Amino acid sequence: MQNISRIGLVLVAPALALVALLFLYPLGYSLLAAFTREGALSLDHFAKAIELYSTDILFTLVMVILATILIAIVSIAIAGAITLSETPWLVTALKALYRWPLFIPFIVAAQCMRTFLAKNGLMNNTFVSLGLIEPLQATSFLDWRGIVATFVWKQAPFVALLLAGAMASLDRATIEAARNLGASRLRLLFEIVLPQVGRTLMVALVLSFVTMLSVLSVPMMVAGSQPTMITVDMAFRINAYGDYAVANALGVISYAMTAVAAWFYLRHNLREDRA
Amino acid sequence: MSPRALVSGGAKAALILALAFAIFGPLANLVLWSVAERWYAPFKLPVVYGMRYWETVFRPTGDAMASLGMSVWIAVLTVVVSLALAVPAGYALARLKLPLRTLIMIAFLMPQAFPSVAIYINVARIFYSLGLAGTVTGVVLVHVAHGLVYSVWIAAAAFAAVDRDLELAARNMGASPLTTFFTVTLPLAAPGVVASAIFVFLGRSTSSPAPSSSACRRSRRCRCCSTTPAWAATTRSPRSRRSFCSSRPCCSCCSSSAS
Repeated sequence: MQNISRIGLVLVAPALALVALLFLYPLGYSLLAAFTREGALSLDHFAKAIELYSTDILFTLVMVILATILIAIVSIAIAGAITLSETPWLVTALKALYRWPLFIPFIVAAQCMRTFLAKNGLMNNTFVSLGLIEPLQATSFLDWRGIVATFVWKQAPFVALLLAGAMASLDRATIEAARNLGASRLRLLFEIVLPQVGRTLMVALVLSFVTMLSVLSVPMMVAGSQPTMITVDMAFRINAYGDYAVANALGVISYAMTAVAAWFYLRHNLREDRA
Repeated sequence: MSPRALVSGGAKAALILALAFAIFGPLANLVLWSVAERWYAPFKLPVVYGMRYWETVFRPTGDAMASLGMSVWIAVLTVVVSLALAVPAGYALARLKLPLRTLIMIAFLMPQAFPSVAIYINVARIFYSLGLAGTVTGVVLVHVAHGLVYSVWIAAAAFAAVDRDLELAARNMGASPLTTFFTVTLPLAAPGVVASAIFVFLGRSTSSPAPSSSACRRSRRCRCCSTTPAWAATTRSPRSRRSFCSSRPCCSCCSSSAS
């Protein structure tokens, strides 16, 4: 066992070394800036960050969690329909449709949404033309709803893609057996299919969570007003004040959120391994 | 067709249409704006159409085509390097007993998680000391570090899903561990590995902060918006431009909006 473990370390080492050099080492600088003041250890920058931005920190957390939940619902619906639907044209249409946003970078997605969701944007115009709403009822969605909509639009296809892939490689026999015994498709999805792809779903959701946490362009471009997400605050501290210390403190806070998400995932995973 | 089937078919068609609108609406919007020379409030579609903005992009003096070629070349290199690093790492994490496995997995997640602006400023500082700043190698390395979370995590999941009995069968028939890996494990995990490569490619060809900090000195234009900011027009010597680059990755108007 000792021997195998050493080979494993050798295989992981190059990748780890790269991350260490290009991420951990610069991160060290960042932490140093966040935790020290004039050479001495201090939590002043955190106090300042929390005093100025506690609303934004909470706002970020709520936005990202809300978006993650919606992404889970949308992607399970899409992947489940692709796997279990008995209507061939529906499956074909879904497959052709859902992947498109994957190829759109966040900054372009934000630009699309900024004009699409605006008060006189394409969405409201279409609704008015279809007679769904009155022209006077048209409101701008460029606030927290816009941020969540952009995140779901961009990330749900990613999760759905991984999920549909995992579902496609499941053993069809168990699904057919349950179907023959009279299980409804909803029950099939939640009791047979989803439990078997739970791990893939978790990986995809954690990756999405973490990605959304570090996106700057979406909150910046879609919702300009207060409160906003902490990436915007970080950019503001650096651009307006050259204040790397508070920016780095905010970075550490957002990193703590990531660490919690990753920890949940890995704990769940380890328990599964042991079982 | 029975009435019930018609209703359910209609509902499905409506759902697909709604989804199509949600997905293509924002994109159609972008395309419309790119060919709209004048478009104001009460009009639901552009008032005057024209290709003025496209001409600006593809004008010979604009670097658009060269930049596009460079982006693709860097993305391809990034995929090759990150696969070379991620396949062994993913295999080790999925199959072999590793100490601190959880910690190693988290380590790959971190570059994706930690907001990158603050990190890249320090990366640029390290690159200047190594002479890597402004080189393709430097940009590729930053991209690889950033994309490793996709490649390593997805590759590890792909290797973990390969049936171990098949590997054992190959070993029983006398195949060496290396032969087993290349003829049994890798082909079976290939779909997952390819998926991870696609994500690395997409992620890398579409991001801006990394090139902006380390390739700044290649061009006198801002890497984010391709305008020529005042600093580039006035500073002729590479050194002062370099010192500018190390402190500010894009021109100040876009360093805030690039992510």
